[in-house]
Amino acid sequence: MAELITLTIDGQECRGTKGMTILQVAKENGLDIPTLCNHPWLTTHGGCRMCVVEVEGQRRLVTACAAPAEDGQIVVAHNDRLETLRQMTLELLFAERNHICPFCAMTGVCELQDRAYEHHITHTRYDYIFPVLTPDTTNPYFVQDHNRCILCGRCVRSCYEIAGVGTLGFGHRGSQEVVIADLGVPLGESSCIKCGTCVDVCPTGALFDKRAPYFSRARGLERKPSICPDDDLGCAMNVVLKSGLVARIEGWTEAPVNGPLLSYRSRYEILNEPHPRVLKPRVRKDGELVEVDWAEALDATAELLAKTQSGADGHVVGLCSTRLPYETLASYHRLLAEQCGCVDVDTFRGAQRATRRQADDLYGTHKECDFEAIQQADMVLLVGFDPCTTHPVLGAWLAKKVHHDGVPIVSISPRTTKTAELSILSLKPRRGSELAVLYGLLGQLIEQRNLGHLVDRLTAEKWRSHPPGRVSYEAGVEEQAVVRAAALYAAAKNPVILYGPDLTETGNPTLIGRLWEMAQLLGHVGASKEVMVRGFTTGANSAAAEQIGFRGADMEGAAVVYLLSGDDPVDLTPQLRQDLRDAGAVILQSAHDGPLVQYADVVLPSLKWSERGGTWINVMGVGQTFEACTKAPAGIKPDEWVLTEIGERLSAVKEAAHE
Amino acid sequence: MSEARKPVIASVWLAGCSGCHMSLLDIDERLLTVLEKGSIAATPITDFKLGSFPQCDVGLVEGSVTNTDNIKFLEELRAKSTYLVSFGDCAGWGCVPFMRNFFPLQEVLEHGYIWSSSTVDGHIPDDEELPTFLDVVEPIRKFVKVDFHIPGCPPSADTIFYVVNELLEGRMPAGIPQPLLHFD
Ligand code: SF4
Ligand code: SF4
Ligand code: SF4
Ligand code: SF4
Repeated sequence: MAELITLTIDGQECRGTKGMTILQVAKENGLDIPTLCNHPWLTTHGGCRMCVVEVEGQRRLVTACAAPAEDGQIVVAHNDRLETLRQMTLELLFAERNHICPFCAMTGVCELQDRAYEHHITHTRYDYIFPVLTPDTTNPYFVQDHNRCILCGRCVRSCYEIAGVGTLGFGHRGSQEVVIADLGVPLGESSCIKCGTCVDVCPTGALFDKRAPYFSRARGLERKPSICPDDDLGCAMNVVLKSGLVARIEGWTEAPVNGPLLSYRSRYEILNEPHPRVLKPRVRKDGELVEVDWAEALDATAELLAKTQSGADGHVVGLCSTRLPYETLASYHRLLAEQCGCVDVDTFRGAQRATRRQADDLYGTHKECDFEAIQQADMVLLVGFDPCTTHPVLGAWLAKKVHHDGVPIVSISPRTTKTAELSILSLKPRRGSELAVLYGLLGQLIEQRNLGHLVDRLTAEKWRSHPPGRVSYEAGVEEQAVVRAAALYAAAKNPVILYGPDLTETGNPTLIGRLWEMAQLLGHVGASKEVMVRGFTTGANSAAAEQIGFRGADMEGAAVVYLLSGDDPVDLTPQLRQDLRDAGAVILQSAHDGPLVQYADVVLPSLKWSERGGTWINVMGVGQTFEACTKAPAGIKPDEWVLTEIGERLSAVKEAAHE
Repeated sequence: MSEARKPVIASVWLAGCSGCHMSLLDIDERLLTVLEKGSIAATPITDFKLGSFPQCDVGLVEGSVTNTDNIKFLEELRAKSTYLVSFGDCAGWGCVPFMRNFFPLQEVLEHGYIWSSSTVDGHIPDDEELPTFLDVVEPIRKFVKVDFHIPGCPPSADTIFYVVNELLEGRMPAGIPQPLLHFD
């Protein structure tokens, strides 16, 4: 147990434990010591000198944020001398740059301003310098305005410590010192991953959201946690609301998976809606979609679904978004599977589960590895996966591993990936020849480690027939790259293999199986029979869909296709287009008037992400429950209400048919 | 301030938008309180020549210093007032007029008098009677001693009244209480 200590701060007896700083003890005991460069998410900097305190027996002032609290210490945090010093510090900060509060995007929510108000500052006694500093507006989402910067370094620390990329740093000297990106390039052209963490932590108007500079100015904004529906990591965020509308999105300290780190998609892109909302139900009449009331649209839906019940007209196929909460997925599944007797219920990203299950059947019932294993990995092999694009938060974690710990990443993907920039080695096989590369890798592992006796005859044949030369010929990758990739993997103690949507969502059990084999071959199986392998998908609730029992769907000869897309930007592949064109009828429940609408015979409005509440289960099985943040526009009903209504009508139609 | 005599207030503006004075007028019926407790000797619309500014107890200044006339005027005001109070961000903090500090003066004048899209055959006014622009716009404390500054663009009426009332009551305020103190 940590050693308990007692100290006196401003005459008050304060308790803490050894290892805490004076600032931490003060805070814990309800005492206020002003700070500026300190931030709970970040390491201590001790640069702004706001938190200077007097410690009895020490001649110099100490910074409370950095000074260790000691038993018996007598600390003075507030007296005239300290107040004067703090005032001077603040006044110098104001004089150093151009703090024109009336036109500052963050006025009213600025910590520099707060400190100044607390210290009764009405003006600065120092002469202004009026440095000429040009704001950097090249980042699509936020502005960096050096005029308001106090060089507290919070952004620099967050970029390295949380975002992992370390884009930001200090450049130039003295009064010309500014925060720069990389070696002084515009932010928009830098290595910045646009996560916005620096904007969250900046205490002033030096970094601000382009979307909401003046909109989010008021205090007393409401904050509600929610989940990013974009990928299966389960990243939670804080939705900042003003008068019930989303002003902006912030990192949420308590997010169980991602902490305060967000991707540009969950923070910014989620607020861009490319298509108008579907506000009223519509039914196709004489080839035209016409607006109707809910009752008519629901009747039409039930009728279409009931027609296929007899089986004479063909079958119903259900395709659902994986961005929806568990509860909605379950209701949808129940309606189709139980009430429509439909066996073809799937998600838009359906193939992945079938793939994983098939791989499971083929290669045993091991579980895949968890985040902990990824955090501890000393080598990462990415296959068909570009986390920096599809799972940016995971991409940032990997960047951190590379930049902080020098962990090698090897990437195998036929695409040009962003993650390749992080990789020590990146193999770009021709599309369709990935398997050859994996055989080549397996062969190399077996040879380099002398493991021939561990593999079965079939595998042995495959790898014998795939020496690096052949792989190079077949896949168009360099021979040496195959040898080196295998050596890097073989040399690691805790390597993990991560595969992505290119494998999980297109269905390739053999590829996935080979990955499992590679892990098993070198004994990379954890205590709980976890193979150090993990597949990722792009729908937030793919895991829930899997649990509920969404299986593959056969679109061939579908009489009715019922799509519940919500606000999912469904990838309208040529195949899906064709399937929808061939279908007898299409029911679409969608939040947006997107490209799917043209195929629909009935269009039902649906909720978008901020209007939905429920439970999400991430790729590792972590469940999170959130309430809706905003209200749906008038006339739009909750998805579950719609599903229940359809169910009831369907029963009624059936009963009527029986009579 | 003597007991027998009501304190005299005078207000002026330099390079400002007059918004601060509008805010001063926003004290509404409290203007009567001001007139009860003191008297107003001059406002920006009072016509007076340099050298003829009335003696006062409290001089209120809006706006920043952008030209040589501003300085002369300010110096006279300082000499004539017992307490000089600047109010508004232009006067003491940094505001609209300061924006020209980030460009060379010549460029600013050319933009204003020659390049602006509605100007035909423009030229930069150069009459000897005209005051000369300073290279850099400054808050008034750069030139004279200021006894108190009220920040804000404009300071709210409540804030202005608070300070003026304190002065009329014969107290130099130690600061501005929290909800009244704002820089924007
Ligand atoms: S950063 Fe803060 S102190 Fe500086 S101008 Fe903006 S609001 Fe004012
Ligand atoms: S940009 Fe913001 S966080 Fe970064 S140093 Fe300047 S004031 Fe601090
Ligand atoms: S947005 Fe993220 S990556 Fe970009 S500079 Fe800020 S912290 Fe760094
Ligand atoms: S401080 Fe604001 S209101 Fe006052 S004169 Fe300047 S611009 Fe106008």
